[in-house]
Amino acid sequence: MKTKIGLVLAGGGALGAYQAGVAKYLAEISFQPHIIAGTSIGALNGAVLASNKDFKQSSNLLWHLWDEVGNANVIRLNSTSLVLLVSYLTQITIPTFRNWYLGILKHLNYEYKNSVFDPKPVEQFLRKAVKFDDLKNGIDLWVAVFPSMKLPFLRYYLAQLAIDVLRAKAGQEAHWLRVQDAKDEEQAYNILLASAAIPLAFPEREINGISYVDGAIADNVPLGALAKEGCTHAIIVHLGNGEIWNRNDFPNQAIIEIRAKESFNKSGIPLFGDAHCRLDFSLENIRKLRECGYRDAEEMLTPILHAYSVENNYKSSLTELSSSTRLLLEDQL
Amino acid sequence: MYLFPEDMASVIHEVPIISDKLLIDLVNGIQVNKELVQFRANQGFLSKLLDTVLGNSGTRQNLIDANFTAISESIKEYIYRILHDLTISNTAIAITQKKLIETRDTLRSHQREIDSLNDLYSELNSRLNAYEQRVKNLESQVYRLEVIQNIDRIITAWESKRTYQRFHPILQLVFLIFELCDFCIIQYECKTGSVELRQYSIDRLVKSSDFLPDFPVSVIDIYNTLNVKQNKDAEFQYQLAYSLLEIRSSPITRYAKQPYLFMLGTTLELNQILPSSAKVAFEKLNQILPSSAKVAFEIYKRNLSDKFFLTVDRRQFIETLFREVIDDRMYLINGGMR
Repeated sequence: MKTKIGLVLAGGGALGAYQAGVAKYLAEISFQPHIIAGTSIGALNGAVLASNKDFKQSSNLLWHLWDEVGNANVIRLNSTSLVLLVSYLTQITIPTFRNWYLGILKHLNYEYKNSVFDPKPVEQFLRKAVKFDDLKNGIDLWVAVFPSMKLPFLRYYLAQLAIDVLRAKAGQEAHWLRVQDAKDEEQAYNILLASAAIPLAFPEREINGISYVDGAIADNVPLGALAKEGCTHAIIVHLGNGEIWNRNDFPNQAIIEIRAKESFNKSGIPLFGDAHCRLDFSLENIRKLRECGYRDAEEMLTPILHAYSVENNYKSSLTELSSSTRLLLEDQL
Repeated sequence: MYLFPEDMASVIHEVPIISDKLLIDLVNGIQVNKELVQFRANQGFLSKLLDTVLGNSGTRQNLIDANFTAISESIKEYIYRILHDLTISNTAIAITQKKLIETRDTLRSHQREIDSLNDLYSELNSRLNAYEQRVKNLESQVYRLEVIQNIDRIITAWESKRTYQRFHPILQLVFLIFELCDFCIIQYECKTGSVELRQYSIDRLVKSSDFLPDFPVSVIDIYNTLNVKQNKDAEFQYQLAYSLLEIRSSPITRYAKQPYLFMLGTTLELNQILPSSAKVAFEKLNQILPSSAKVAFEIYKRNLSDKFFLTVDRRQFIETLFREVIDDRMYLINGGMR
């Protein structure tokens, strides 16, 4: 059986900086994946790593790009986000309010946006960081996206999100898309941005007539995409503490999970604390997360490497013993 | 493309994937469970409550259990594999021990063969040495016989009057001793270290030297006979003998141990240098001119020593002469002239 090694990057917003630290350590121990999969921020990180077949170079680039993310304030609230949030609540209670509200926005020269964060800086940053040609010729990259059910009569995005979540719970699976299969540059970026299109936070993306949102709704760890491609070994980088993900669902793969030892949610408050740490793109937090990622990867992989070394010595000695015994048996006077 | 550093990458390819998975499930499974357990321990009240409400708590527990089961399975597989490998090791050790015993037996057998070969070698060696000794003995006997033949040939030639016949008999005897020593005895003694042929030669000479009296007589009397010069030819022979036997010009260390040869050489010299008119002159003075031999004896006695037998029989005379000659030759061979 041919060895095929995969790298799976889970989604988790700003926690994605943690994966840059992990990638740096992996590059230092000469790790080189044959295939990469990612969801949400993991897909964007994956795109950077997949753009160069030399993992050392790409991991180095990723490390520095996260500095830029922290400095450039790439993730910022829409100017209409607060108004939008209010509008959600109003639309639900006053059905005629929508038309009146849109008229006012138009009059005030505000473009209507259906997301809390402005997607343009992210998109521009992505286009600058990842060149389509490099990606096309790079390592195979699979991303998980979730097909959003767009009902024409349903204009309430919170409700649409709720339906999507329910569908995911009911068994609707995420779609795995290979970025290199995109028909053009536009579609490739759309696929990547679709995977990161957190409902409400970023707008959904339409690919081949299907509206896609963040794959994390149904599959935050898209190892399935790699298993389907014949992956034999995989390193999974989770973004979150106590992640519920069962490695035993993949009996044919040798899986190394890298999980954070420190708690990301410093406040300890559920939901709010979790959301806050996923949206904290400050340079200080990014640097801290990267260091954590590097340290955790080292701590988790060192015992495995050691075990390999012991296994290797054990195997060698046994092979040597067997061959010398065979020689003894075959050597007749 | 490698998962691990280059040295580890080769290992992955050597170890089957199932073994790879076992190893990773075991080590990483424990790490994951540790993280899950740690997470649960660190959860706050609200978080715990929310997880319980959402069912995450139970799911997480199930995950820990599943991982634990997988780890246990891995350990079980590992133990089986180790036991299987242990069987291989034990079998290998048993085979090695068997081979060691065989080798030990073979070595012992070889040792015995070597010992017997050594014995045989020693036996052959001693036999060879014995044969070699016998050959050497035979060679030395053959050589001895050759030397005896030479001695006999020299003496027979003299007995048959083929050699030294123009010299005075005493001088013939001396020259004969010289020839025997120089061409037979010295070489034989140097080669074999044996002095046995001296006696043989002396016996032969004693037997053939009838011109010497068998009873004890003074050496001076014997040498007094050298005064007789019958003819001109004898005069030449005398001159020749005198030249050959002149000894006083030699270092004193040499002739100090040769009283007979000294007396002989000096007698010949005195006979040569004292004209007959000297005798007449002595007679006119009513004095008797002492014989050259007597004078030679006196010179030796005064200057060197008188501790030698002056009165000897035939055998003693010949033995002494023989010893003086051969000792002188040995002295010369051993660097006495340097």
